[in-house]
Amino acid sequence: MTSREVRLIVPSRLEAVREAGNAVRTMWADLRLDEAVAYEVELAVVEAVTNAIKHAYGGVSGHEVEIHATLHGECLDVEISDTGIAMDPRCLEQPLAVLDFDPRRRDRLPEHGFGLAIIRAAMDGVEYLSAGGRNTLRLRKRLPVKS
Amino acid sequence: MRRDEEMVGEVMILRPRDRRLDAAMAPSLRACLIETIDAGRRKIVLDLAVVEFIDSSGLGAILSAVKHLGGNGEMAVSNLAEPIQSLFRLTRMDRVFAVYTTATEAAAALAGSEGSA
Repeated sequence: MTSREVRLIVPSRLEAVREAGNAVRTMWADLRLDEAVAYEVELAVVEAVTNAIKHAYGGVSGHEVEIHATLHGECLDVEISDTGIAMDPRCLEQPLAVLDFDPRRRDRLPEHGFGLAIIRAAMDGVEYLSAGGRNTLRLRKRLPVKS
Repeated sequence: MRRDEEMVGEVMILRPRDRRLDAAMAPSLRACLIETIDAGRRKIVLDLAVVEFIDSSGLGAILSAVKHLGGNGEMAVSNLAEPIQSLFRLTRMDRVFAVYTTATEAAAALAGSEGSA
């Protein structure tokens, strides 16, 4: 498998999240990825872009989110960057805590906070960096390519 | 939100026509479900036959509707594509509401239920 690099910049509008998801899916269409793996990668990127728009930019349009995907052999790295408010890195310490709810207590069901849990579960590596006014969520996925 | 609605006895089957239930679509999905509940529908099947992608925002909208129902009704989902089934297991949504292969099965199950699990 050869190396490949794709860069995509989307505006900070929730309608653009769909564009990011479609772009991620078509980026790797010719790799014949397992359907479940392709979904996980698309889902993680969509969650990250949504978080950047909603939280880093507070849902305000007029900014940009950059998606930079690099394929090295059978390893896919995707960086999602924004220049908004940095996330508290502690959010990544226990991302799965949101899943610890009692399904019988409907009044206490969580409606938010699943995004980071999904990203953590879907990807093999997750790192968050914030420096020089730029925040980057770095995701890694090992790709089992269909033979 | 574009959708089809079907009544089977007292069960409402709601079928979104959009293939993606993401952050852009979540507010209208939530509003549609809440309106349905407020109109007196207390047994709802969300049939996801044409839905190819759901993210945490879409799940949040569905959970919001379940909370709105409280102990006064039931919601089930049907026709989940395999990756969406995986997402439901991952996020433990399969413990919140019953998942059925078809809307017909889901409607039959809800028709026989008396209220909240």
